[in-house]
Amino acid sequence: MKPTNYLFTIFLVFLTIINILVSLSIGPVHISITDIVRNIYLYFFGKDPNWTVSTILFYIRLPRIILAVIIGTILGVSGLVTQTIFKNPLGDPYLTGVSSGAAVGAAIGFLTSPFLVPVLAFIFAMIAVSISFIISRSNGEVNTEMLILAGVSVSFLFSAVASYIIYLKITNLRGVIFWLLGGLYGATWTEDYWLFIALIVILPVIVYFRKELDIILIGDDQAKSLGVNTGRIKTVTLLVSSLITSLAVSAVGIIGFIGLVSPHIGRKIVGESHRFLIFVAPLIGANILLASDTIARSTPQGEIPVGIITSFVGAPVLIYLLYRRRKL
Amino acid sequence: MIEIRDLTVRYGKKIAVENLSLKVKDGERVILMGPNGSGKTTLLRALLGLVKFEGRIFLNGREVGALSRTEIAREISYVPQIFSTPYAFTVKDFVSMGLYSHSREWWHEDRRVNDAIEMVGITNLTLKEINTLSGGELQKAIIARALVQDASYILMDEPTAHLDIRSVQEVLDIISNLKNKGIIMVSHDLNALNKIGGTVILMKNGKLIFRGTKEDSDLKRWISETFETNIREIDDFLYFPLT
Amino acid sequence: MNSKVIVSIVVVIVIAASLSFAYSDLHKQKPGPSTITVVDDLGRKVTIPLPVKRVVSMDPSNTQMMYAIGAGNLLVADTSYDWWPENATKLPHVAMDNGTASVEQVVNMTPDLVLATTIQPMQIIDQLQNLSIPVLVFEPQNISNIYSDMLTLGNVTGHYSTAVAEVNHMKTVIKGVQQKIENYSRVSLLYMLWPDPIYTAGPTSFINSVISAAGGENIADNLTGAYPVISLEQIVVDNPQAIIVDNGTGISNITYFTTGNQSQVWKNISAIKGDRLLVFNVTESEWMNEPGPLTIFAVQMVAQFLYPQAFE
Repeated sequence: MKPTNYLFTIFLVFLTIINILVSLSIGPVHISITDIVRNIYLYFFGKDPNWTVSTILFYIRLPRIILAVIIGTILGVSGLVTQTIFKNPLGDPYLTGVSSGAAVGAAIGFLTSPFLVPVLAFIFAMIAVSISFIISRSNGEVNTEMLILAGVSVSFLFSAVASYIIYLKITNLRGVIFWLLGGLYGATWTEDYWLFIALIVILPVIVYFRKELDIILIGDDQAKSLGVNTGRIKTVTLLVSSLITSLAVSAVGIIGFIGLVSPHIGRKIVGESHRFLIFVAPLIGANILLASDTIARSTPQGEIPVGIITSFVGAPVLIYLLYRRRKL
Repeated sequence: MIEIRDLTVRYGKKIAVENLSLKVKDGERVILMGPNGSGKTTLLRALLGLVKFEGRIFLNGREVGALSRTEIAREISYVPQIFSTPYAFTVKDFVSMGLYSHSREWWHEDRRVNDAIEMVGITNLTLKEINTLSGGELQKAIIARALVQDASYILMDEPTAHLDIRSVQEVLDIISNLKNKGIIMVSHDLNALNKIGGTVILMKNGKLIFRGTKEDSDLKRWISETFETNIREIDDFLYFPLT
Repeated sequence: MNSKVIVSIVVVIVIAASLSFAYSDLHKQKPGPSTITVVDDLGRKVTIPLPVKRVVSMDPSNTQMMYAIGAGNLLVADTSYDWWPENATKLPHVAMDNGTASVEQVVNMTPDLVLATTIQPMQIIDQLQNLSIPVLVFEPQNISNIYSDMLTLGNVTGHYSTAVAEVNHMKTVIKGVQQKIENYSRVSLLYMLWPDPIYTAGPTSFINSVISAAGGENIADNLTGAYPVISLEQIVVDNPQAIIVDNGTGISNITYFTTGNQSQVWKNISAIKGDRLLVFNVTESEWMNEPGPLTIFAVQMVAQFLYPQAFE
């Protein structure tokens, strides 16, 4: 194995830290680097920091930056799992019906109380995912070809329900429109805390199965003949990645392209094996989302939805990668 | 020992293997022949536990249905028909997957992996990606993976199909040099029959119709009947002429 | 065979001719001196045959302006979400609050004039116009725009003098409010249309013109567009002295700011520290959001909230 893969993984960790520091110094309100350093010092060493600066840094920017890193990590890793299990380069973490299920939940949430939105979005996302899984079970294991079709069908069904609710009640549901666009506004430490807990509980499960994910890519029959319990591993990894994706969606709405593009970029650099990819894809996801969100929140005209930026950045990168592949 | 008792495999209403019983001793080499659709591959898949079946299969005295995937993998390894893959694993990554049933660690520096790669003669391709290999190179890598898996039996599904003349020779050489391994090999290649030798089993319409050795005087007649052709005419095209 | 061909050709010609007659008849504007041409808020020049006896309103603002200038009795249909005056709720409804309107139902009312707004898709307006039903699109951007729209309506419906009287009344009320507050220093205001993300009323919104008429200093003045998102960072820096929250946001009182997720940020904002928060009820929200005769109540209400001393 190429030793550069170790170096690149470590490099990505440093890149993430630098990205966090840079993002901390960028925002709609200009704060100079010296102000930032001085206030960090004052904040941690008990003196009285400037209220405006420290509030912006520690209660607005930093929680949002951490949220971007967490959500990017979730989307990167679940995008990778989806692409591997479905052996489909177009797989994205919403494939099993997460996003449209969450949209229905959000729409119902906004009709009752906006504070119920994340809870209902999560519940309905999991309902949609469960339906997809139940439809596609055969002989006690998940049939991935069926699951793609089931996911698409369930997505259409839930999208129709969500569209109908929104269409009927558009004036009471402006919140849904903002929610559907996705965004990391309103990030708080509480939100970061819970998502972080979920991430460190769930991520090791996926990392643990990285060897199996490699073997599954070669084909189901071969994987089984090598001793891999493909049915159990597919079900567990997909359910777990759908679960964290649902959590991510319920927290920040539907943010596209991160889950699709991060594994592709990772593969180009560290190769096919999940040995490194399982760490590299989420780190790339975290960096792309953080950079995109920093742009999204810093435009002088007021914030623009981050999904627009991720697609705007992600699509050209993907096109470039495909172009390179074609030339090889 | 592999013991098959009254094996029946159905695909819906179609019966692929019917009431088949068979014993394969440790270290025995079996060539499985038969027309397309006679149930050869299905038999291999049943042994691997990849299809549902009626009847009983014992691997060294233990019933397949009661074994986990890993336990089956320690008894029998599998060399599938050549496949194409878009996935860019290196040969080393790919071969090391064979160790899965023994340990979940990352074994890239394991001596067994390098030995197996060397044994099939593709050391120079160790860091090449499998999606860039030729058919013969990939087949050797697959055999190396099966060797690393270190099971008592190797099941092979037409290992020489789609290979060029030289690759067929090389692959057959590798297989015939395997020591202390039971081999069950599906093949339409009469060269394989000659080179590997051992037991010959003929299947037709899901049933076992002949069991013998290549020395059996009536083998040619049985082959001719099974395939409804006269094989004496192709003797001249064999690299390893029929004796 | 020959005669069959001739017969079919004749039939086709007759059908085509009658269709084209019908079509041209449909499109013929009734000629003569009894038409009036006015320009609506989209800059469309619309010619309306006179007299206008039957009017369909597809927006509460339009309905309210019609009643205010004394032309309410001309209305034959309006929207499902009209609420003022009470008579408006009793008319047949042809438009929904999501902007959809049934063209069939509108045509069935045989209106002389349809009053639309920009929430309706342009296709509906074009379709009506193609059926020779004149459509005026009103979307007042500020208070003086309300005056001009009312005068246009007065002109078209033959209620010009009452329209002038109503406009003068509104001007007097607003001037009275402004005189009361002119000696107080300006109060900075955050207007929240939605809390998450925080959508606010930008410089080109109608709401902004109400805020400035009421003496408020909208902190979103330097953003662009009608309804931009304002960052929490900007709010911290601008530190507004007062906050107005629109109806339907899920926020009902100050606890959202003092105990909610972002309370660490909010509880140090002047408006929250000084408890200067106004949450609109449904009616107040309608006053604020529907440009029309009721806008004077919105101006009074905001001014009273920002400068309570001036109204003691």
